[in-house]
Amino acid sequence: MAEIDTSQGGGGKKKGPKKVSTKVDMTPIVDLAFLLITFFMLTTTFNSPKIMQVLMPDKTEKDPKKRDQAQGDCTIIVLGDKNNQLYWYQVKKDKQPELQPLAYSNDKIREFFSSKKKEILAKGDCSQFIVVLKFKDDASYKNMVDLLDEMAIVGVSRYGIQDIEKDDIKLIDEYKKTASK
Amino acid sequence: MGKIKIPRKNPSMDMTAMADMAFLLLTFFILTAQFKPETPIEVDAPSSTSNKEETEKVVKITVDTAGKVFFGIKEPKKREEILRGVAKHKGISGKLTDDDYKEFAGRENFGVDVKDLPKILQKKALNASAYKALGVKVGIPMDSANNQLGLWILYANKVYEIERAERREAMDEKTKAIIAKTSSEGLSPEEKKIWENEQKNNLKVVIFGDQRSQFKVIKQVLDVLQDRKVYRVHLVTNLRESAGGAATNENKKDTKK
Repeated sequence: MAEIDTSQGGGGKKKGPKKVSTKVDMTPIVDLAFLLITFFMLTTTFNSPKIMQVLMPDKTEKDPKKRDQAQGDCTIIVLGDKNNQLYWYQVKKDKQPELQPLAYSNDKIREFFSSKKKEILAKGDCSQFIVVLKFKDDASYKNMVDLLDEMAIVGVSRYGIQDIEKDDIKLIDEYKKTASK
Repeated sequence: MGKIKIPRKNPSMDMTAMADMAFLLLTFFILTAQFKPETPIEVDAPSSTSNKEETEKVVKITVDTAGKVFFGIKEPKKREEILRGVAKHKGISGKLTDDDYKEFAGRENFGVDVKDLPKILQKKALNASAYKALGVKVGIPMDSANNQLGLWILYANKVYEIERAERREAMDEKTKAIIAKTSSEGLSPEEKKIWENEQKNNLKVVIFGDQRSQFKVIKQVLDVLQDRKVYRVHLVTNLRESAGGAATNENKKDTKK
């Protein structure tokens, strides 16, 4: 391929033993080698699993100060229901929480959390913005990862996953009832 | 007048150098390539924007949509040690031969009751369908009466704890103070390096869950981990291409329905 043999074109004027070229055509080897390189390059770079860190609370923590940090006005509680339904409410002392729906789309969630973060930190009596995520059993795992991801993007300094309580499920049910009326 | 003879030249190119280089690169890529480990069950990970890479010292819990759990230890050297611990605890050491241990050290994942482990090791069953063919129940039991997943975590932690203690011994007081911090904030670049290195060397518990699975499936695993005092959990995710990705698309799909 890369070598064009022109030695025979001059006619048979020369006599004597025919000279045989000792060169080996390397082109196919190079072709093959590059093909394999491409293959290995593609398989290596596309295959690095990524991980995302989540901190879970200590269930055996007895010190109430440490355990109940997510109390008071600084906390937003997000509830996840099935079919990508999200709700949120803010914890207020001695007040029935008001459940509100949260549209499940990245932009909306991000906007919501960044505005809430600003609002809560601006009040001044909160040292940090806390978000507690609670999911019903039939919520999807994808929702959980999506929400955790948004926390990291928005820069919520404290967030965690907690078991959903009966009161929370009741709130969702009540909300659904009033919404369907 | 005689014609000027132009010497005929062979228009060939020496490919040897090129072939050399190509093979050099090829060797490099073959040696550094890490193939996707064979997963015993189909799992479709959710995506996130986190770009932290998985490290070497990882215990991976694979969970499928039905809540079947597989356990994997990434470092081959540690696998045998962990199995010895669990087998002793469960009193089945006698049933496992040296060949079984060797076979176990060679596989990254498994997901059966410890009692069935000798069977699948001897028959070299690698994935869920092979387990089923042998009549073995797929998935590691993790109910409160027979919490084997917790047991595996416990022994994995023990084995890595020994390694960690050895590493600690070799350190001076200053480095010990650095690695005791909970975050790398406020450290100088060199100190940060030490801290990050220590983080890399710590055992990480990673959950590889399917994005279609329900939350309760993952919660079961999280509960087991919490009981075992593992509070720092990692989730395997695919890298999301654009920041406005999956959730928005999902929403569009739903409104179409």
